[in-house]
Amino acid sequence: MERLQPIQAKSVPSFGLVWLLTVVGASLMFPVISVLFVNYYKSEDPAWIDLLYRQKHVALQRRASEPRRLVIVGGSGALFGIDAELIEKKLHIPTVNFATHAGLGLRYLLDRAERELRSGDIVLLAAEYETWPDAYRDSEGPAFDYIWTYDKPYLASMNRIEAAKMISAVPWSQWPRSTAGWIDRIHGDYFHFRELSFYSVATLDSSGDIHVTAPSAKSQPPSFPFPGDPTLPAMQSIRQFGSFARSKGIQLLWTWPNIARPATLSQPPGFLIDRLQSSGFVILDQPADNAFPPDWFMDTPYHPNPCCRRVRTEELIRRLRPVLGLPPAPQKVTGLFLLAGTDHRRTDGNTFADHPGVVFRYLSPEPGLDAISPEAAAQLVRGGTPVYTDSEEARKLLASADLTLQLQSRQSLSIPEWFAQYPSCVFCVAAPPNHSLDPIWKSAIPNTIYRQLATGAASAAMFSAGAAPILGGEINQQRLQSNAIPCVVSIHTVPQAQIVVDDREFVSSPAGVCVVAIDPEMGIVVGSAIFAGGANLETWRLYRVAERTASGRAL
Amino acid sequence: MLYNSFQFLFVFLPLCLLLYFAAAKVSGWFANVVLAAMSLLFYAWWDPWNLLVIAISIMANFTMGLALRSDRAKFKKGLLALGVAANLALLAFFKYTNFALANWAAVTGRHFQPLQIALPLGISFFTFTQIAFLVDAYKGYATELGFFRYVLFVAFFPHLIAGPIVHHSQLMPQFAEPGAKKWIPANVHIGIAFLTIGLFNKVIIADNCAPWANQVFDSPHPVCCLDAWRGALAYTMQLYFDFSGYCDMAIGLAMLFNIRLPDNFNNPYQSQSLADFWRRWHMTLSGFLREYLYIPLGGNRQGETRREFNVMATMLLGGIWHGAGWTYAIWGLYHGTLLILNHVWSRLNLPLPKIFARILTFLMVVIGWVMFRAGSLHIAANRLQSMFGLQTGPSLARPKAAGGQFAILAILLLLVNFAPNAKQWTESRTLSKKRAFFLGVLFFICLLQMCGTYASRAPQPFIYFQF
Repeated sequence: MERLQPIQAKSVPSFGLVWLLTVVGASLMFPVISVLFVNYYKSEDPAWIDLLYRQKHVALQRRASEPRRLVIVGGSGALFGIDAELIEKKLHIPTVNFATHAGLGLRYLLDRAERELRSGDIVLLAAEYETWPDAYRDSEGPAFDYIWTYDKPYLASMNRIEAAKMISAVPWSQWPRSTAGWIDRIHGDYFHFRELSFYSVATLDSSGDIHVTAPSAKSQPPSFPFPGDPTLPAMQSIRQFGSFARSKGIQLLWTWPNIARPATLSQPPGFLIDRLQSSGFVILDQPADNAFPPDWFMDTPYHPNPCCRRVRTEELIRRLRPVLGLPPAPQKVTGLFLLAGTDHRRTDGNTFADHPGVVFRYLSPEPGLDAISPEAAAQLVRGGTPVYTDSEEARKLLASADLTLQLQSRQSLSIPEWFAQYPSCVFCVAAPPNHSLDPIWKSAIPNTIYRQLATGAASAAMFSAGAAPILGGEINQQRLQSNAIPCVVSIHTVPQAQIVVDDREFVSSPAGVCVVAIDPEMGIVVGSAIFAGGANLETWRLYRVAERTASGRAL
Repeated sequence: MLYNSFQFLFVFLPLCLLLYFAAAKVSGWFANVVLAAMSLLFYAWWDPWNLLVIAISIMANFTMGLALRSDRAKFKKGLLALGVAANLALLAFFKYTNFALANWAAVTGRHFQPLQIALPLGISFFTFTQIAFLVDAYKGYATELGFFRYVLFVAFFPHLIAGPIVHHSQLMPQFAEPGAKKWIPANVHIGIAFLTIGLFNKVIIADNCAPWANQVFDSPHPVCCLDAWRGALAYTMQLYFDFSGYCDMAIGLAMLFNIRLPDNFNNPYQSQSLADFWRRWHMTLSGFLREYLYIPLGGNRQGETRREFNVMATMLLGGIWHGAGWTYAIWGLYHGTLLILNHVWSRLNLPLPKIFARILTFLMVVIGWVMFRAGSLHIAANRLQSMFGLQTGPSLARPKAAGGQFAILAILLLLVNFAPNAKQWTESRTLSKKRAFFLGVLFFICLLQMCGTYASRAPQPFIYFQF
C-alpha cells in the first residue's frame, strides 16, 4: 500500500485567527443585523394582525378616560365570536374587542394585552385551545412573522435564551424576501389583502368587532383540544398575567372559546382549571356552553357566523351580569328573539338592552340546544311569550307553523341626518343609471356632486366632511390624483352601482345610490347605506311574531 | 452527532482537540487513548448498543490479526478465511437478513414480518476496514499492532461512519508518529479549509438539492420528462456534494489531529469514461474492491471473458454493499455492464472526442443514480421511462420554481466541471488572510443555514451514513 501524500498547502500564520475572528465577528453581528433587517412585510398574516392591533389600540384609546373597561382578549375565535358593542350596549360598560389571531399564541396575546391595560380594567380572556403551545417559536407561524415584522421591541422583553433561539431561527431564505419587503415598504406598497377573501379590515367597527359572513366549511373537531401538558410555558404566562392583574387591580374573567361542537364533549383537565383559578380568573362557563353546531361556523371551527355570534354573546352577557355587579338575568324567559340565515347585525331595535329576560335562539327546522323550531316558537307565541325577529328569512320558516310577522317598530334617518353621523369622514358615492334623488340631498352633500347625481346618470363621487385628509381612490378603474376630492364623474357603461373598499365589494345596487363612509384616520369603513329613493333611509325594522288567522292576517 | 450539527462543531470537536493535545503533553500513547475514547463516545452517541457491536468486532479482529502473525501457512490461511467470513457474516446479519427473508417469503409466497434488526452505523465501513486489515496481516503488511492504536485505526471518528475506507498501513504509522501529537498550525489551516468547504458543500448545496430530488423520487405517480430530469440531476448533485462534502470534512477533521486520510473524490463528473469515473468516485471503496475482490478473483490475468466476469461480480457486490435492495444490485450490474462496454470500446481503439466522452459518461452516471436513488425497481423504471419520453405525468412544480431549480442545477454542473475540488483549491493557492476571511464567511453562512433549518427539523444526515 502506497503511503499517503501530504496535502501541499502554504498558509500565512494568521490564517486560523482571521478565520476564527470572521466567524465569531459575523456571529456577533448577525443578530443585530438580523433584528434590524428581517421582516415579513410580504406575508399576509402579519399585515392582518398589525392592522387589527392598530385599530384595536385606537378603540382602547377612545375609551381611555373611562374608569373601567371590559377588554376581550383572545384569538380570532373571540374576534369573530364576541360582540363587544353589544356587551357595551347591554351592560353599559365600555367594551373593546382586543382579540386578534390565535396564531400569536397565548403568551404573546397576554403580553400584548398587558401593554394596553390599565388599573380598573376587566379582562375577558377567550383563548382558543390551540393558543397554549409557544407559537412564536414556530418559524413558519404567524407569531414569528408578526414579531419580526411589526413588534421587534418584543424581542428585548423576552427571556434572553428564547430571544436568541428566535433570532437564530430566521430561515436563511428569509433574507432575500426581507430585501423585497423593504423595497416594497420604501415604495409605499403595503400589503394588500387581495388573497384574504372576506377578511377585511374595512369591516372593523369602533369597538374592535369585525362584521363579516362567509359560507360554512362545516369543520368539526373530534373533541375539545385541551392543552395536555401542565408544563407548557403558556401555563406560566397565565400565572404571570394573574400577578400582573393583581398588581394593577385588574379583574380577570375566563370564557371557553366558541367552537364547532365536537363529536365528543369532554371536561377540561383539572390542572388547567386549578391554574386559571389560582391565577385569579373567574370561570364563567363550561366548554360545552360555547360549542355550537358546525353549520354555524364559517371558514374554521372557531369563526362563528354573525347569528351564532349573537347567540354566543347573548349567553355570555347573561353570565357576565352577576360578575359585573348587575342583577342576574331572570330565569323566566320574558321574550324570544329569532335569528335566521347566516347574517345578522345588532341594531337599536334588537338590542333589548333593558330586557335581560329576552333570549336569542336560532330558528331552524331541526331544533337543538341553541336552536328552536318554528313549531316550538308557535307554542311560545300561543303561550303569550313575546317573540321577535328582524330577519326576512325567518318569515318563510315561520309560515310553516302558521306564524307571520307583524311590524313592531322601525327606525329611519333623513338623508342629512345619515351623513351627519359621520362628521369627519370621506364618503364614496356610486349612483346607478336612472336612479332617483330626493331634493333633500342638496343639503347633505357638496353642490357640485349633487348637481351631477341629480341628473340621474350613472355617476361616482368622493367627498369629505370636516377636516378629513385626502384618501387615495379609484373611480371606474381610474386612479384619483391627490387633492382630487371633492370630485365627481359621470360613468356611462356600468349597469349598477358598486363600491369596493380594501379589495372587498362593500355595497352594490342596481337602482339605489350607494354610499360608504370611511374613517380617514383608521382607514376603515364606518358606515354604508343604499339610498333607494325618498327623503329618508330605513335603518332597521323589528317584527313581532304572531299567529296567522284564516284570512292570512296577523292575529 | 453529525458533523453538520452544532453539538459536534461547538462542543465535541473543541473538547476533543483540547483533551487530545492536553493528553499529548503527557505522552503520545495517552493522547491515542484519549482520542480512541472520544471516538467511541462519538460512536456511542447515536446508540450506546452499537458500541457493543464495534467493540466485539474490534477485539475479535485485533486478536485474529495477532494470530495471523504466525508462521504456520495453513493455519494462517484458515484463520484468514474464518476472519473474513466472520466479518461478512456480521455485516450480512445486520444488513441483509431482512432483505433475504423478504425475498425468500416472496418466492415461497409466505407472509413476511421484518425482524427488528437495527443496522449499526458505519458497519459497512468498519467491517471492510478490518477485512483489509486481516488480509494485510496475512500478507505481512500489517506489522504495527498496539491495541489502542488499533482501536483508533478502526474507530477514529473522522472516518468511522462513512469512510474514507482506510488501510492499516496508512494510518497506524501516523498514530505512532510522536511529531503528530503537536498543534501544527499549517495542518490546522488545511483542516479548517477542508472542513469549511465540506460543510458548505453539504449544508448549502446538498441539503438544498435534496427536497428537489425527494419531490421527484418520492412521488408514487408518473412524472413528466422535465421533472424526471430535474430529479435525476438534483440527486446527482446532492449525492456528490453530500458525500464529497462529508469526505472533505473528514479529511479536514483528521488534519486537525495531524492525521492524513486518503482522498475519496477527484472530480468524478469530469470523467472521460466509466473506468475513469470509478477511479475518481469513492476512490477508497473502488480501491478496496479492486484489491480485495477483483484481483483475488483473477483480475485481468485469466483472459477477457474471465475479466468481464470479474468486473461484473465486483460491481454487483459493490452495488449490494451500498444497501440491501434490488435497486442497488441493478445499479451495480448496470455499472458492470457499462465497464465491460468501456473495455470493449477501448479494444476497438476508436477514441471519442473528449467533450462527447465526458458528456456521455456523465449521462450514463446520471441514469445510474436514478436506479440508486429510487425506492423501488418500479419507481426506477418509471422515472427512467419519463426521462426518455416513454411516459409522462403531471408537472410536480410550478414552471417558475422548476426553471429556478434548473438554473441552479446548471450552475452546479458548471461547478463540478470546472471548479477545483477542496484539495486542488487548498494546494493551488496560499491560505492567506483574504482566503481565511472568505472561508470564515462561508462557514458563517453554513451556520446561518443550519440555524434556520434546524429550528424546524433535525440536521440532515449524510447520505452514506445509511450504507
